[in-house]
Amino acid sequence: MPIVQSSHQRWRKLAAHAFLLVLCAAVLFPFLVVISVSLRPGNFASGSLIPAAISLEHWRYVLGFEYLGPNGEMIKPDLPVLRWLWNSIKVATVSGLVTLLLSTTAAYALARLRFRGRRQLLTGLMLMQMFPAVLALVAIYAIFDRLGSAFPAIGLNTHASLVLAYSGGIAMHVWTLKGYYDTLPVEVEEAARVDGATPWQTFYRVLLPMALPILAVVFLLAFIGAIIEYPVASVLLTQQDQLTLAVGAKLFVHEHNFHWGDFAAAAILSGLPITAVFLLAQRWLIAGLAAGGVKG
Amino acid sequence: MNLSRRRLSLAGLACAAAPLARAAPPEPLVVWYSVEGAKGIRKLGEAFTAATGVPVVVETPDGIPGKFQQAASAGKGPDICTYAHDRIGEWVAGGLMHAVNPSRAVRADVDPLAWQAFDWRGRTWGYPYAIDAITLVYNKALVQRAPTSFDEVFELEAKLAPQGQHAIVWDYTNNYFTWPLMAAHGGYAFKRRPDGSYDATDTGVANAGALVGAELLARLVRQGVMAPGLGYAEMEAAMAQGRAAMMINGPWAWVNLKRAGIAFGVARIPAVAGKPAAPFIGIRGFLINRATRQRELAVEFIEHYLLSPAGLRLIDQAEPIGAPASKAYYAELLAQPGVGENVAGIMASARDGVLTPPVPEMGRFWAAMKSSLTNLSEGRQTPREALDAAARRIKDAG
Amino acid sequence: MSVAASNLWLGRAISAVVGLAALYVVMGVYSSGNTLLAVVLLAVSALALWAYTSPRTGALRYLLPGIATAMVFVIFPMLYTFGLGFTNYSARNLLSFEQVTQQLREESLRQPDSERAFTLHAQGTQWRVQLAATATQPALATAAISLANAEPQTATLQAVEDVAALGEAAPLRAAVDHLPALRALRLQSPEGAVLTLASLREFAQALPLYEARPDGGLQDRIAGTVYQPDAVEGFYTSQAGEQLQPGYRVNVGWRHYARIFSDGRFSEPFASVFVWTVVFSALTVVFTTALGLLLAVLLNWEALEGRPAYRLVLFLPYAVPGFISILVFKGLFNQNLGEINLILSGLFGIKPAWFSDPFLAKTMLLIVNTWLGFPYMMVLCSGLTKSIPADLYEASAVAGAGPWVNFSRITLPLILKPMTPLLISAFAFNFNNFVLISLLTGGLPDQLGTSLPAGTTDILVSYTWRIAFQDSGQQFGLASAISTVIFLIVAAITLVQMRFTRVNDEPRT
Repeated sequence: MPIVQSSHQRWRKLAAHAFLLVLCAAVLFPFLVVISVSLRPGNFASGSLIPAAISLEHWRYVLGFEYLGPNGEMIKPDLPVLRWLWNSIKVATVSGLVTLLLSTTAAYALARLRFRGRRQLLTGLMLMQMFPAVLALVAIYAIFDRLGSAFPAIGLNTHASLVLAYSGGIAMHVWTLKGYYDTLPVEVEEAARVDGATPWQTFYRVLLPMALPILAVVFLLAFIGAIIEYPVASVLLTQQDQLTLAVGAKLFVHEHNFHWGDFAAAAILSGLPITAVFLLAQRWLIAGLAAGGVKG
Repeated sequence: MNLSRRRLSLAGLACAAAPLARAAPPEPLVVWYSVEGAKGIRKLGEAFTAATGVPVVVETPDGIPGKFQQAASAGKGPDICTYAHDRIGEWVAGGLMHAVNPSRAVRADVDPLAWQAFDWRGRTWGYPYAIDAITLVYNKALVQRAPTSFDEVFELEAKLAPQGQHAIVWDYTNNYFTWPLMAAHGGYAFKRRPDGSYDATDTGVANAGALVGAELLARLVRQGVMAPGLGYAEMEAAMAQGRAAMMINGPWAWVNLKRAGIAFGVARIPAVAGKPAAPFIGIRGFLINRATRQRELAVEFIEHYLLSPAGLRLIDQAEPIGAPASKAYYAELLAQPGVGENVAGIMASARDGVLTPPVPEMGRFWAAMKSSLTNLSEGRQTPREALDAAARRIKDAG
Repeated sequence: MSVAASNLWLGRAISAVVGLAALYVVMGVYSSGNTLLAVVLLAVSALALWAYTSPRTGALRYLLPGIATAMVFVIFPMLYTFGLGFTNYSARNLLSFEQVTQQLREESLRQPDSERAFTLHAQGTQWRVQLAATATQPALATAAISLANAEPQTATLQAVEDVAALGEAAPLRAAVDHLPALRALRLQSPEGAVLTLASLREFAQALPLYEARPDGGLQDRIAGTVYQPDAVEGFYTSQAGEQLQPGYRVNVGWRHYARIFSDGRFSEPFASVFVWTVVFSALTVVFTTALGLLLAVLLNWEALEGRPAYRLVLFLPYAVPGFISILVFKGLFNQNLGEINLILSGLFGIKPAWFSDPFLAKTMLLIVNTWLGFPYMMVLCSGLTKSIPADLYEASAVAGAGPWVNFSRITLPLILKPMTPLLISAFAFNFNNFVLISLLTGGLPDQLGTSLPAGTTDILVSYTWRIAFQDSGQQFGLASAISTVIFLIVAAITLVQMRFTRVNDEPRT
């Protein structure tokens, strides 16, 4: 953004800050409710925002410490929530990288290379995302059931199967990357070609470094998508130790017996890796700004 | 390239001769149960493994009904599934369950009401172990003696209102909790035929008996005993904070009350204009998957371990099962202070109740009644209109 | 050898090894019984090998991995679901014809009071099966038989005089170890009754319920009724129309589609539900994008302090799983007890009925969906604005333009092109946003007077799902047909949008 040499700058900044602060308050409020629910004794949903009494029982349950049960005895939590968190992080990281790999290459072909059927492929990629996927679960279960009987390492109840299932969801990322590539000037790549670089080298050494901001965005979105995804993970994973956090947290949700406090604590826990990746991605986003300033 | 391809295919054919056989370890007996109770079953499983050499694996998936249907239809799934009886109509129709022949000892020990739930189309389809019925749960500090009729509830309200408290709250747009009022004078979901099946075209949600219950509900909301827009979460909070004296709920809610330090009692739901309220009874049982390869082992584990008094005790300690279907274990629980009266309350409520029809058309019933109860409580429809709309929806969909 | 030639041979060697490995895997899969999978793997590996070794396949090399996974894990399930829409797959017709026929043939009825407890007695490597004495019958035992394999065999029972001569009864473990053989064993009593294994501890008389007829039907042994398989409905049916359970899956052609388009219950609220679905999706996209873009631009303004903190806080709605956020909002918007109405009544003295008034319920849905969705747009816009060269802004600063001109003349036009496809997919996502509707309002408040429960906030997906899954058990075939119809509707809208925004045209550089 430019350096505006106007004397209205201070008013503008004040207005911007005011707007942002109000928005932050509105955004944070439900989040604070979630935190407050996780610190309340008992498993209730409503109550005052600032809890009258603070109880760490839900956090102890979720983090695996023993806690005092209603009968007065120490109970060891039976649900491995931290393990689920680790599973989620594992799956999401690998899935994010795989998605990045598959979508950057496909987007490169669609943006830079000329071939027959390019437009139809793009349209197909767009339309592919529109199917209400909830029923496709029957097919997904059948696919991995079969795959698993031949290759147990990628069958049901494995994390590899989850990564594979998510790897098909590249359509939107391909469009995002393609859109970004289209804005990058071809001259730099053409110059590299003239110097004798192969298409792969052009892609890997010239185009990708210029596209760092959008790569960070795509990884972040793919990571988040994998962490919060529920339907496919619920179908493919049934053994308790293998669950991701999104699926495992559902075990706190019985029809009439909603363990609000435990669920809130688990939800916040699942937000931590997402926030961490977001903070990491920010650095790439800002680095992209410097790279972008060099070009042109 | 062609030469290497030919060489490859020859090598491939040679490799095809290698069989993919693997040594088979003893196949475990898989049981599906809830998370807390699974601990008790695992302990039982150790005894079973010592006696038979077959390991027992307890899994705790979420959304058991959907997962069981999906897995069992593919020839997989647990050997023993634990669920309430209301799905057996659907699962028997889908060919997912094994008919069972309980031994004489087990037949004698389990309450006949529980067997009624699992007898379907002339065969028995599961082993019941727990009887569920919602009850009145009252705060002993606010209510000394549980009211036996709704007239007394209104009197209690008059006494408590000046103090800013209410007599009763419950999740009234959820038909599961409100239906006892409508069934009291003869409302019914679907007509039960003499052979045990249900007539999906004959519904009693709009008959005179149901209207009595609906008008009672409307009166409770109109007179301010229960606020509009009240849901399950608000009910729990109101009870825990002492703002409400009584609620209609099930045993799963007792834990939160204990944590909040409320001394509570369990009683029958107050009578509606002279007739006892009739809640839906759910019977939980152990079902055997039709796709199991170890039927005899499953039967052995259920009859001699899960349903033995020692087994029920282990499960109950891990996660309270409520009122047990086993007469022997029920007698044992009655003798325990604190637990006995609560369990007796559930059983008393169940004696007045009606078994949930295990037919898939119940889905229509719940959906239609949910809309009608919401409209009724918001005043968008009168009780008569709301029930007629529900009846029309249930019948038209057939 | 020159470098180029040695590279060529290295490439050929690698592809040969890879081809060999792929063929080994395919053969292994084939021999384990998964023919279809083996064929698919063969096709994929052949295609891959060709793509990466042939000199003419430039673009395919980049496209193949992504397109291949998309085909297998997205397109194939789509086609499978599409195919399911032509069957009667439902809770009552769950299994295949073969499974049902086998189940019905295995059905047996146990004779009451015919159970006899049994024990096994070892005799060297063989065993004798003893049936305990009952009140009316003496103890019976077989001769020594082999229980080593699961071959069907019949053993005659004879009365036993000296029970002790049989030796000690083996523990239960022995029965477990020889279960396959015991299952295949038929015991013949002196009276001629045949007993089979009933449990780990008992043998009993059981007669098969149905007899298989040569014409493919089944005959009930007791009542004599004959049931023939009905390929139209998917049940074994008698002449009188009685159907045996379980049913099986059959092809029903276009029956579901005909029902969707002709049945009054589907078409009655269709117009209002469809309009609301389109409005909901469009407004969600507009609001989230506007807010997201505004924030991306604001947070890009170098002169603004504390941007990292703002960025983090404003990102948080996206970090917490939507499931719990939506439920928290449900509590916050509660008319009498929710915090939002407490604040509103304190400030303005009003307590809007968020859940019972249709318009307010729709507003609430849009508010919550905007809260949930703007961080995503904010992140996307932050990334895409980085593609705008900074010297454009410097030039405009030199020309004396203010921030609004910068935004409307530089940022917006340049970001619109890459954003458009993402807006289109966001529209499609919210068109099918089943989770939000079902968790927050469940479709309510109700539309009065419809013959099926239809809510004023129901979107197409939630309304039709309810029909498929709540009406009379799960009807997967019908739900698949509904999915396909909804997909066609959304695809049609999308194609129109793509044509209108010319999003697929060549980029003008």
